[in-house]
Amino acid sequence: MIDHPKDSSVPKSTLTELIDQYCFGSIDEVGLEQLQQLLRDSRAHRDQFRQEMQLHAALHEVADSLVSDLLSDTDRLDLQSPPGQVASLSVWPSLGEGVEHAVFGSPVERSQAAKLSINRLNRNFFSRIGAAVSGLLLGIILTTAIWAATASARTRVLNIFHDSFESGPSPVASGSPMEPDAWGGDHAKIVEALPSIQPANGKRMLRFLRADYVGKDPPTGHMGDVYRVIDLQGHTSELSHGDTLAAVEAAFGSVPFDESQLFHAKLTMYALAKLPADEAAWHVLIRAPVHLAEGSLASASRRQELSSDITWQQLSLEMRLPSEARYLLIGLHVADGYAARKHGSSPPAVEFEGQFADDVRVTLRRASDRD
Amino acid sequence: MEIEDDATRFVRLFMLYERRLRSFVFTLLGNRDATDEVMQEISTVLWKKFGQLEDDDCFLKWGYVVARYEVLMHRRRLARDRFVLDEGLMKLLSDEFVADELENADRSEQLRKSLDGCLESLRDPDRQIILTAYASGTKIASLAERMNVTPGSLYKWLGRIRRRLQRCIELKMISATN
Repeated sequence: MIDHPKDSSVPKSTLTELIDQYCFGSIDEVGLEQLQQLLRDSRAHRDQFRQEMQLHAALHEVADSLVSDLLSDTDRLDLQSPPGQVASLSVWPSLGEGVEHAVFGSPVERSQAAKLSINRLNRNFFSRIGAAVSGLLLGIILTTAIWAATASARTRVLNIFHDSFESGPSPVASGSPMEPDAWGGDHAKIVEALPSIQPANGKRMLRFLRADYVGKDPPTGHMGDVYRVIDLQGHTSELSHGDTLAAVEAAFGSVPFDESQLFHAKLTMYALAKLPADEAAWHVLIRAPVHLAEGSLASASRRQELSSDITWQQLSLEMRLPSEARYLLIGLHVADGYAARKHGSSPPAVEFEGQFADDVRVTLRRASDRD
Repeated sequence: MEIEDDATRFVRLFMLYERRLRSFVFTLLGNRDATDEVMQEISTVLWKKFGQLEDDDCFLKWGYVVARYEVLMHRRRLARDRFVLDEGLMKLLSDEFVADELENADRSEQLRKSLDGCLESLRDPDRQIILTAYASGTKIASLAERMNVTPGSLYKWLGRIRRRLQRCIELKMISATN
C-alpha cells in the first residue's frame, strides 16, 4: 500500500464525518467507497480511523458499564414484581416511565443491554457518572414540574396572546409593526420544519432572514428585529389597579453552528400609552433601543447567548404595567455577535442562516396573585 | 482440578484482554451488535482451543489471530445486507492495528484513563448526553425526540462532543508520554 503524499489535502472533518456515518449505519454506497478510498490511500487516514473507532468503542464500554451497574438494581426489583409488570428504578424514585424509557429503552431492551454488558469499571468513577446521568433525568423532570406549576398558576393568569406562527402572513419587512395584530420589522418569514430544526411548537416557526428592512438606509445591522403590538384597550379595568404584571415568553432556536460563531437571542417589551402616528414616527422610535425605552411608559428586556448544542431555548420576562398603558410592544431579536465584534454596531446587514423564534405567549396577572 | 484451573486461568486472561479484543473487533466492524456477536464466537473458540496455548504471555497475540479470522467470517455474512469495508482493507487495518497494539501495550489503558478524565472535564449536559447516547438500548431517534431535537442535530452534537474528547485524549496521552 502506497501512502500518497497529499494526505493533508483531505479535510480531517470529511474523514470524521464518514467514520461517524459508518459507525451509525447511515453511510451509503458512495460514502463507503469514499471512506475506503481515503483509508486505502493513506496510513495517516487509517491511524485516524483507528483512533476514532477506538474512542467509539471506549464510549460504548463506559456507557454500557454504567447502565449495567444500574440495571443490576432493576433486575433485583424485577424479581419482586408480579409477572408482566416491571418495577421502577429505585435509584431514581421520581422518574417518569416515559423519561426512563426514552433514556434506557424498553424493559426488554434494558434486559438485553444488561446481558450484553460484561465489563465492570471502577465504581467510584461510575458513581460520579451515575450522578451525571441522573442529573439529566432530574433536569427533564424539573422542566416538566415547572410547566405543571405554570399551568396550575394560570387559573389566575390571563392569556392575552399566543402565536406559534401556524397561520397568518410573514412579518412585513417595513422596519416596524405599524399596526396591532401583525408582525413587522426586519426581513423574516414564517417557515415549516427544516431537516436541521423542527418548530418548538406546531408546524411552523419564524425565521430571521436579515438584519435590515426594505428601504433601510444604509442597509446595516447585526440584529434582526421583529415586533408586534398587543392591544391592551380591552383590559383597562385590570390595568387600572396599577399592579398588573405583563409576562412575555418565547422560544429561540438555531441550527447547529460552529464554535467560532456567536448568536444572541433577545426578548423585549415596552408599555406604550399610544402608537406612533405614522411610519416615520415608528422608525424614529424603533431606530435605537434608547428611543424606545425613553418613549415608553415601562420597558424590560432579556438577552441570552444561543447554544450551538441546544436547538431551542426559552426566554421570558415580566414587568409591571402602568395603569395608563394601552399597548404592549413586544420584540423578538437575534443578534450576530461575531458581526458586531468585527464591524461594531453598524456592520453590513447580517444574513441569518438558521436562527428562529417560535411559541410567543403574553399573559397578564395581578401582582397580588403571586402568593 | 486441572479443568477448573484452566477455567480460572482462561477467565483471568480473557478478562484481562477482553477490552482490547473488543476494541479491535469494533474498529473493524463499526457496529456494536455485530461486535457482541463476534465476541461471543471469539470467546467460544478461545476456550475450546485454550489447551493449545502454552504461554500466557501469548494470549493477546493469539486472541488477535482468532478475532481477525472471526471478524472476516462475520464480514462475509454482514456484507449481504449492509455496507461494510472490503476484505482487503479489513486485513490491512487488522494487521496495522495488531502491530501497533502489541508494540504499544499500554496505549489501550492510557486511552481509557484519559477518556475517564476527559469525560469529567466535559460540561455536565455534554457528559450526560454522550453517555446516554452510547448506552446499549438507547435509540438515537427516540432520544432526539425526547430532547426535542432532530436526530441529525443530535448526531452533530455528539460529533462535536466526541471531537472535544478526542482532542483532550490526545493532549493527555502526549503529556503522559512526555
